[in-house]
Amino acid sequence: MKIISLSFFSFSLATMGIATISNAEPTKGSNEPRELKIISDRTEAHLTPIFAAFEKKNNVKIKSVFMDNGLINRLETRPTEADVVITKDAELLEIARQKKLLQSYDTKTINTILSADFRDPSNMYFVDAFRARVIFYSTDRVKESDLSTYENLASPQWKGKFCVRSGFHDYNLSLFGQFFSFYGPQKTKEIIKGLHSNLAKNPTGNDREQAKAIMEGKCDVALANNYYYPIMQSIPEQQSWAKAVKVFYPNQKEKGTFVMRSAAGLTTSKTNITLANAFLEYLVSTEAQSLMVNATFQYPANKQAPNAPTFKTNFIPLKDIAAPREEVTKFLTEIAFDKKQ
Amino acid sequence: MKAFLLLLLLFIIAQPAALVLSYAFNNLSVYSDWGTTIQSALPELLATTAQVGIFAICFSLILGGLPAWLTHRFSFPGRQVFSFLVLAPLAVPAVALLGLYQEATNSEVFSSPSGLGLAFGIACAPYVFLLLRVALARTSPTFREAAKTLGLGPLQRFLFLHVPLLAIPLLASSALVDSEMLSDFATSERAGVNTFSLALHNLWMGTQRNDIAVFLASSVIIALIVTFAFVIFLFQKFTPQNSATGHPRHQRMRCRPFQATLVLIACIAAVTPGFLFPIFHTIKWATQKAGTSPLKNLANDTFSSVTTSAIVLLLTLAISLVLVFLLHAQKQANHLRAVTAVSLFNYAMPALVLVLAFFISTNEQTTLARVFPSLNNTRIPLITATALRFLPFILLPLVDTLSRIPSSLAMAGRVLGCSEKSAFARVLLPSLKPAIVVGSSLIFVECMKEITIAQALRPFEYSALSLRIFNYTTTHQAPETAVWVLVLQLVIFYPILRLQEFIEKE
Repeated sequence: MKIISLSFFSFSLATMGIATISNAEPTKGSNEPRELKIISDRTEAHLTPIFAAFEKKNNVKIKSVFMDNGLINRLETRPTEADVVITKDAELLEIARQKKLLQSYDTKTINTILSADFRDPSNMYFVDAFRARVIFYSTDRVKESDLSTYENLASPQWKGKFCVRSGFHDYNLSLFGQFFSFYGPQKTKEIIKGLHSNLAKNPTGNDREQAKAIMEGKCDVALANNYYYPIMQSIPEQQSWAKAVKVFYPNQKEKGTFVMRSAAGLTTSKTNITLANAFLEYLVSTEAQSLMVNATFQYPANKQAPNAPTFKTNFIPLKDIAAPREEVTKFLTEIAFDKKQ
Repeated sequence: MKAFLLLLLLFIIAQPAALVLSYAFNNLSVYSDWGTTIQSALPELLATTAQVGIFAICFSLILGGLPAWLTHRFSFPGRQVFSFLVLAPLAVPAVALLGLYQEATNSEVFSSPSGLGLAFGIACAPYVFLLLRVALARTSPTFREAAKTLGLGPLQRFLFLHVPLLAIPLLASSALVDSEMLSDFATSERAGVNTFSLALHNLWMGTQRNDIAVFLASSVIIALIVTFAFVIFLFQKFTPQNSATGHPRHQRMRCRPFQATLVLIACIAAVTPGFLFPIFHTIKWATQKAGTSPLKNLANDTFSSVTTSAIVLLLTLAISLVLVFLLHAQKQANHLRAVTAVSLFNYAMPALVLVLAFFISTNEQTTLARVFPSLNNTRIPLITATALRFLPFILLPLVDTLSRIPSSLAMAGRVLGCSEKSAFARVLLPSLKPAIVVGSSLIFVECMKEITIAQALRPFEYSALSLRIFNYTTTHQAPETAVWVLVLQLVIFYPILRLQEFIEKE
């Protein structure tokens, strides 16, 4: 019995050893690069050039983990495993702030570079880039004059002609959340119901798939993030999708187009604050912002960086963007938004 | 010491479900906020889930059951090759299969419950094939002879002989297919079909509230407890009547050329959706993408996948053997069956729920995390969660084999002077070898393609083949996955070969 027990325990220890060694931190010598840990739900390829540039400049090794989902859930149970958190949707960091999962960043440089629109008032996180949630419309079947606002997409005119990805995706939760803050709950629910009743197909696929659906004649208009248009143009297989659609910036005669904001902040980890702050400062520098623009076709938060938006944007205050998320999720569940009526 | 070890293992195995239930019990207030919403959504959710489940079971029975019967009953050229090819879809995650079909056919069918059911059916057909081939091999041919003598026609023999005899493996196949379907939200998300697991995922991520996810998850666990109690009752009631050991070997029917042609056509039709169609497109895309796809991470992904799967395999093997030694050798076979049933919870509950349990148990505030602060920065949570999820894959074959080994075998060893552990090592263990090979192969294969747990619990800088495939598939870039899928299939080739050998020996 002893042998079996011992062999089991030694095996378990060996297993733990192998697993630990394979992810162990390097011993720090004087020439060893310092280490910065970043957790993110953004596309890996979009951040890699920025990481590489920062590593090269500062003799730093960035260790990262990219989550498709569950960023805040992981942060909630492992609040100090990473030094920096970067997300594709600023409201997730607002939720993280409310859950006390963030600490204040060093405001000296960042608050000089970024305007108040892009900063959390308590300096817990900031927006590093943004993109507009726009309307893709068929070049063949829709005239630009037919389009005006988000509300207009919910009108019977577009019955059976509207496409969108899952209502529960962060992009739509964010957009509908902004509707809640801007229009109020009652009008928002009417708009969402209208969009739901106009669906041409079940909300599925990503934003680019909606352009493809327009090309295939399954629908005429779709909600999508504007940066997917140049991305489609740059991929040979998707150029025909891009050719079939045009981009319309809604609500230009009103307060402006709603935007999705990516954001960054410091976790509550205390071990690497100086380096983490240095990274955040680099993230808003003109150099990193240019890299971001090149990789993602987003608009930079730093106004000195290229590619400033040429349309009117409606910035809902950061403090208001997370609150309606739960109510939106509940409403989408109640009306079964992801199933065409 | 033995009791302590046993309790420790039982605690580890039962912990995820227990954690989720206790967390749900402590957060019942969520029902006042969300009760009405969940109640209003539940009927449609359950109906859609049941619809997908039924389609998945039907397709898997056709794609797995038909070749199982053909390769068992008939002798024809290429029979062993087909046995292997039916098992080949084991190498591809269901989400990648669905992505491939959507991309290759551009058909709306694959965005419907039936299409989703087909994807799960194709992905699960190898399990149905495996279970039915083994069950058919163990069915005494004398039953068929007796039925023939009594004048029963083919249809009557099928309805009144084969169906009742195969009821348990058919039930097990259906349960397995449904478990796979329930645990996988990514494939449902890709299809845009709102199954229970996708709704759980949407509500969890939409609200970012663990208590809502736990509330839904606990309802799954309670439903599973009821289902398992029922299935165990059925097993206990019917299994002894179905066991037929020591029967004469089956003689496969030699086909005449016309028959052989029909059987071959049926076999080709059965392996087309799971192997021929996907491999054709995968190779085509891999060729098209040659030189353009960034392959720099391929070696690293393959190494990570293989090492993680190997460690999970060794861990599950160690746990299983210790359990077998502690329980079976002590003539407590019922306890071993009970532990196996408990371990089944971890497999049958949605993988997201298991992840949730691990998020709770590896919280930085827990004593465990305080004692081992680097724990979450290793693969240990990922390996442990994966091992717990797939533990039944090795426990079930072991329990099955043990039930057919006469207890006199170990006793004979003891009489001949072996100690308890020596009798276990030298007498019992060799008899368990086939079960160990089957269980190990299945665990390795499942680990290699596991996505949900790896995605959520991976440490920093960790990547894997399945994760890369998942990332490409969810961003609708199925052709980009081609090289990764081919490598995955190459790595899994050997375990599948061992499975096929096992089937042939049975």
